[in-house]
Amino acid sequence: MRVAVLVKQVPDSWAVKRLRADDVRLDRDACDRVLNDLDEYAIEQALVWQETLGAEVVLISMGPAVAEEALRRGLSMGADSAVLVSDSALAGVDVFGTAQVLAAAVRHVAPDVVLTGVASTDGATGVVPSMVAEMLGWPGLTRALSVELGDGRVIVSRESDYESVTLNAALPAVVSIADHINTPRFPNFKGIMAAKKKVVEVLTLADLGLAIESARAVAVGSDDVPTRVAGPKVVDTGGDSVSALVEFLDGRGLLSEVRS
Amino acid sequence: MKTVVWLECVDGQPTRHAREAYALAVAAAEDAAHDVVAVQVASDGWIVEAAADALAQYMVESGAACLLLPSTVDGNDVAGRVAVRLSAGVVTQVVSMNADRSFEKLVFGDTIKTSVTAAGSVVVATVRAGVVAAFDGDIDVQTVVGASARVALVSAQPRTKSARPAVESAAIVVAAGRGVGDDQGFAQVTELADVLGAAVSGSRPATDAGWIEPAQQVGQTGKTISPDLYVAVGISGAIQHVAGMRSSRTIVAINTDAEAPIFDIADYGIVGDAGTVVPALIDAVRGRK
Repeated sequence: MRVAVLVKQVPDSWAVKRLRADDVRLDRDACDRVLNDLDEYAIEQALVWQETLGAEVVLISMGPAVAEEALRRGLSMGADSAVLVSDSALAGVDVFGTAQVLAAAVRHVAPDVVLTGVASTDGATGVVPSMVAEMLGWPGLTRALSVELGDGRVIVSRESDYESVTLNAALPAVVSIADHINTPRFPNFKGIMAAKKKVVEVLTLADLGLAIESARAVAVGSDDVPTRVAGPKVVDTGGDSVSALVEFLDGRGLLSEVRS
Repeated sequence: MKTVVWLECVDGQPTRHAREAYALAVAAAEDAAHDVVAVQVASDGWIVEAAADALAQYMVESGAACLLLPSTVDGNDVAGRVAVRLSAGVVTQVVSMNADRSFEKLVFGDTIKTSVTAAGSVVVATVRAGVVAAFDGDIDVQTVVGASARVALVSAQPRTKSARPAVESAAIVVAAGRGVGDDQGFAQVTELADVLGAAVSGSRPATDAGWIEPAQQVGQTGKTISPDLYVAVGISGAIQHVAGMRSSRTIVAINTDAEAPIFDIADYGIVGDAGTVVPALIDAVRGRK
């Protein structure tokens, strides 16, 4: 049993993000870089299978050479090895190109199941898991709230906007893991030391036999959304603050639907 | 040029979010040469696979240049799959659309607005909830049939029907966070919501506590909304939550910690304990003249 986990290095969630004026791309050099925290839930699920099923856990990422740091974080959590696709031709690639590269890297690793987070916290499109599944011709089950393997199949429960469903598909499959499913472990000292010796295989597009076409969706301009200005901040004592708040809400016409 | 809109349905009726996507497409179609076609998908399998299959085929047969979908959990998945089938660009969570198939969207927790254009002959876009009024008239709908070939649907249960408005379309949303404390504190938050005619939502800790379902959660891994009024109760304002509600028209925050980041974006802040402030607020709203 081999489990591949797709992960991404992203700017720290708290970092103020800027788009570069010349090419409308995120200025990644201006931010601290971290492992996308939504990927840690997928890594944790894979590590549970490592412990219970003896699964081999391989991380896959696409990014510049520095993305190896995010992979080391996942390796220190306990993943066995990692693959990084890094190529200067990948600068500015859109989600379509990203999915193509990740699908090719998955074929290279040849896992039984691919896990991902539900989205990256920077691009935040959440479409990559479905796109990778479609490109591979595999079942794609997203936002899993529970996931079980057995008899060469995967069973997933998920919640859409309107219903809860349980799905069953044959492996190999792509499954994105919701952040409600587990609590990712923290790397311990032993894990951090062990991660230094684990192998990160670095591949170029040529190694994968892939050529990237130009981006299909391109940001051509951007504007800062005006920052919000904080209003009054009133300290409450025993509920004495609420009448002024009600007046404020009434003044904005926000109490028209009030029910007694 | 032809734009196709996926009319996502519940109990056979197009959802409000889907009718919003349709309204956006109609508004962007500036002349008679620009068709907008609404398509619903019939299937007894998993709707995501069935819709991707049927819509990709319909797009090819109709020669349409654009597919719009609601940015729901299922809409997002269908968008990605159809984009791959059509080798099309995909743009998620758009807030506006132009006649030339360019879009605007908000990125990085709604701090930056970008214009996005698609190269190639087809583009697939998902439309954020609440960016336009839902189309109110009759919609002429084509029905296509799709199959779920790779995934078996074992069971499907509609989410528990709530008498309260839906989070993604409510004018007022009252949201609970860790600072609400316990089940009793959350019960007060729901009472406030009912008095205001509001939807009930929350941050991640509210989901973890079992107070709300994941589908009700607002933030990075939940919904992104912009109601007229957002009341954040016991929510500190972590970036992961704020990403989903920063564009609310009016934000009120109630929190014990005067330094909580939620106050930086609140139009009105009360530094106080939810257990005291919320019941007092319920009484004050009820008693107002």
